This record gives sequence, C-alpha cells and structure tokens, in this order.
Amino acid sequence: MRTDDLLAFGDDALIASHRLAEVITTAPQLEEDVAVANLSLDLLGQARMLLSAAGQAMQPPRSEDDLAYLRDEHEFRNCQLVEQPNTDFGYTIARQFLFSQYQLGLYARLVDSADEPLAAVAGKAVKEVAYHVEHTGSWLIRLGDGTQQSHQRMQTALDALWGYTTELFRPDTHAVLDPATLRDDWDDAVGTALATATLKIPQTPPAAGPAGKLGRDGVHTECFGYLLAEMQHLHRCYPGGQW
Amino acid sequence: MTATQAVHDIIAAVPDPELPMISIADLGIVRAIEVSGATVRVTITPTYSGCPAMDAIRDDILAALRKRGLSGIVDMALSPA
Repeated sequence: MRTDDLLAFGDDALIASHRLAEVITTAPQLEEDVAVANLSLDLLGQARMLLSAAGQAMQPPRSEDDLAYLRDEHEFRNCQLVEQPNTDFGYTIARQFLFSQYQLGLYARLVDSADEPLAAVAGKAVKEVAYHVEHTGSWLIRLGDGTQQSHQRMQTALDALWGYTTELFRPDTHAVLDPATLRDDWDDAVGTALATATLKIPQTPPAAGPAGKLGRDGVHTECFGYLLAEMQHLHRCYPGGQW
Repeated sequence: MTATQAVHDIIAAVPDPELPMISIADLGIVRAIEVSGATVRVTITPTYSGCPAMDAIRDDILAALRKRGLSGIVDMALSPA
C-alpha cells in the first residue's frame, strides 16, 4: 500500500469537499444548497477513510485530523484543479464535473485493486461519484444550453479550469494505477457532455509549475494558502481542543 | 436460543439515530457478530462514505450491550460495500 496514493486521493477528496462546502447558503436555489452539502459530505467521508489509512501507514502514525489540520501547503498532494475557487456557480459546476468524471474512472478501476483499503473505499465511493457526475452533468447541460449569459459564464469557467485537468492524467508508473490510462475514457465522456451542453472543448494550454512541479508534488496555486488558513485556523488556534 | 441469537436480537433492536422507526439491522449496517463469553465483537459498515452517524451508532451498540452486562468491541468494515 503506497502512502503517496492514499494522500493524493485523500487530499483530492478533502479539498474538493471543502470548496463545495463553501457554496452552501449561496447556491442558486435551496435544493442545490442541500445537494452540494450532500456531495461535499460524500467526499469528506472518502477523505476521512483515505487519510486515516495513510496516517496509519506512517512512522510514527498520524491521525486523519493531524493530516487535515496540521500539514503545511507543500505537504498536500491534491491536484491543483480541486483547489480552484468558486468564482461563480459555473466554476463550481465545471470544477466538480471535470473532477468527478476523473474520480469515477479512477474508482471504477480501483475496485479491483489488490490494495486494501483502496479497493474497499473505491467500492463505496464509485456509487457516490456516479451520482456526482450525473448531478453536475445535468447542471452543465442546463447552464450550457441555457440563456446567452449562462452559456457564456459556463464556457468562461471551463476555459479557466481546463488547464488544470492535464495534471489529473500525468503519467506515473509507480502509482497503484497509472493515471495516464484514465485519459481516453475521460476525454470521451467529457467531450460528449460538452457537446450536449453546446459548449466548446477549451484550447487552454496545460497549467505549468516551477520545474514542472504541480499539486501532486506539493506545489499549489496562490488560492491554496488562503484555503488552508480558513480550513485549519480553528484547529491550530486551540491545539488539543475537544468538543 | 443460542448466545449469538440473543445478542443478535439486542443489536438488531438498536434504532438508527436519524430514523428511529428503522433498526440498524434493517439498514444492513450490522455485518458480523462474534460472541466469546461475555465479550461481543460487532462489525458495522457505513451506509455511505461520509455517514456522520457512525460514532453515535457505535455508542448505541456498546450501551445496549452494557445494559445486558456484556462488553463490546465495535469494528468498522468498508467492504463489502
């Protein structure tokens, strides 16, 4: 069992969950506030299981809370896509749709992994993210094939986030599953969804990092520092706090 | 009635914290029960990844066992999903 894999998948889920939780109380309708809360909770559950497993494999062992609240920016292994802010609802939907589609492909393969607990987590999570894809996919179509304004905002969001998707499929032959092998299916599914939504596949070049380093290497975008400050400050202000 | 069946009935009667008209056995949360003397080992599975009620369910199982003079250990299993 590779700690790097558990951290990457766990951090992805944790940060994606956090960004979705920020939308609660600001979604376009009450029903959607409830929906994003549900998606966020699913992802938090995945994060808890993956980070707990990662922590147990460390020397000395660390708890899920240690990992979520006490690591610094450069120690997080989430992809840069999930940390991107909720600039507007279009960004929220674009970010979650592109990421959930990746998670669906990933978990569908990990179900058969010899690696426990990855296979166990994937078994539960694959059913949940299938719903995440369906939910965000519906909004993608509704907004893309909607009014002139919703279409424009949806396209703008996709164009802004597209450059972060390359990292999801960066080849890694040492990983439990080489992410590059997920690319083709993802391209097909996303391409079909965008076409149905009358949206164009963006031509944005891949995001570049210093010396080619990206989220998986612990190099994050500027907004990540602010995200961690908000997420961690309570725990850090009251070390050992219980309630 | 065997020891395992009696213990099963105790645990099966524990209601879901959110939906008290349904038991945790009804929801398929209880996966395995092992009895050895006065110690009972129960394995439970969350209904979904982020289920926040698992701590409450664990506490309720232990309390139900304690009321009958039994000591319990509750394990969480993620699979079968």
